[in-house]
Amino acid sequence: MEKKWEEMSSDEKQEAQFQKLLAPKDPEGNDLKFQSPEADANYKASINRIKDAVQLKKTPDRVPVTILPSMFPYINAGMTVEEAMYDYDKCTAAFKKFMLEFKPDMNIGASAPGPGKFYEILDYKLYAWPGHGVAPEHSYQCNEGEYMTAGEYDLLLTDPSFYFRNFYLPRVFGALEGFTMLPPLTGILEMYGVAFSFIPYALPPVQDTFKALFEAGAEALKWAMAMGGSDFELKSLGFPNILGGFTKAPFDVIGDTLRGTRGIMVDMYRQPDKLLKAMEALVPIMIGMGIGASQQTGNPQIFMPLHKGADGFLSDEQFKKFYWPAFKAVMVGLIEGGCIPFPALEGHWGSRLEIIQDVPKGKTMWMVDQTDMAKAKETLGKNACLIGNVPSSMLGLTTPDEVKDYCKKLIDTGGKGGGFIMSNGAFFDKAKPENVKAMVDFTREYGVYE
Amino acid sequence: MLDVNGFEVLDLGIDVPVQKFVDTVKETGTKVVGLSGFLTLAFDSMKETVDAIEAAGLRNNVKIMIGGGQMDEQVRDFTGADAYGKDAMAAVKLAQGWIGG
Repeated sequence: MEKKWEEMSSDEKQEAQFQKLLAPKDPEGNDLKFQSPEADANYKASINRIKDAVQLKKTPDRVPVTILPSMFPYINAGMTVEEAMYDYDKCTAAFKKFMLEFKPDMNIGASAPGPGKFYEILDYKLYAWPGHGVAPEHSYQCNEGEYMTAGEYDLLLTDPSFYFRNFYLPRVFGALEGFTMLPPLTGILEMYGVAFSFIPYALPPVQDTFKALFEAGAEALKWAMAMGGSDFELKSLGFPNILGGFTKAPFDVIGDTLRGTRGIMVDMYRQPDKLLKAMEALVPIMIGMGIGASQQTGNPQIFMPLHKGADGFLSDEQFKKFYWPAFKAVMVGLIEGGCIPFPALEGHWGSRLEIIQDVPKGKTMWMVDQTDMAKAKETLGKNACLIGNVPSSMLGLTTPDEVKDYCKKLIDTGGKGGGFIMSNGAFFDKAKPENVKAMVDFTREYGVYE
Repeated sequence: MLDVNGFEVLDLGIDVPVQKFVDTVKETGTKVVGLSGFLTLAFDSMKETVDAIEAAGLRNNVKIMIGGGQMDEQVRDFTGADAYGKDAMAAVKLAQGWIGG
């Protein structure tokens, strides 16, 4: 008899996830019809290649290759970022063109531009985007600030969802101002007095907020349908999407968009205990976010963009005390839930390798940006699959021959014995197409294992 | 970081037009210009800024450094800047080397 999901070990869960990926379904739940036998074979070969690279049990047939772009597919198709954000059909068409032109083994979907209209409906203030603070041809940018004040840790700790709804969200979405007037849901207990909790929903600002939510939800669904359709089409052409969702390291949750860089740096000195408690409270929330996304998408890989743990932001002591424990706890929780944490070491992480190599073997995959690949391989690479790290500068400014030389070095070091996926090291908008092509094509030739 | 190390720093802000750099170099007689960029799209803006300072005949008056996520020697060469730094402390070392402090 088949084991129930809850009874499986993390090894068995991971294996079950890969088996599920190897037998893809269409939106109606039937076996996915591939557009050709070749597409069917390519799809399955890619999944097996990633599986071998992640599990570190045997070398894949060759080094898998992926491209992890931000706006490159759209800019390369001759459109502005604004067009890709506002015209979902144009966006997915450009992404398909990109996939057919470069043919990486796997992709992360066309969702990077996101739904421009949706951000408009909610009056999103956390980012500037084309037409809303940046030029049409530029990518969106975060407006960093202290969206959570230094005195609000207790509020966050008492009831994170209440804090997010009533304080944080109205600060980053102008249209959610009405949320500030809502009472906690946990006050709804028994018949006597229950109606009091619902009075705020009669107030015009609250109703305006809900109207905006309905409209935003409809727009998000429209966009998601376009993304989902594109995903199925690409799958049927033999290109699996490897992105199952995303979550974050607790230190970055607070340091990126709640307290901001300056805020969290000060908190490490002025209120370290509160910061540590808040991160501890965020651990199960971030685990749930990853597992939930993975269940929705059916993909186990959960992306974790890492920011403030990079070399230089924190001392070694601070990294060990504040960044690593909560980050590791999120990864362990994800692994126990059958997910494959997919952290991105953005920037330089050379000084952290000794610490972060302490992860369960064969359960994680790490995007390596500017950290030296040979050093990463000797440490983290013993226990984890590494992805990268062709520099953005190389893709944008050099020649295909220089890219090939670099990829050769990468395959010889990072690719030794398996556990490596060729890719760019950081999300990029602009590059020479011939250089991107050289990265993929060269890996297909040179990356074959004996 | 430059500020706390004793340098007088003029923060021109984000998404700064090229002309503003040129005008500021002219008006203040600053010795060092720092350009920060995180995205690959910044490569071109940085080159345009360095070119404009050159075209205004001010290139010999200033040292130019670049920094930020995707910067390296390759990008430095492309933009025509004098140096690149990996982090904020590198900026301090570069500035100290150029103008003391």
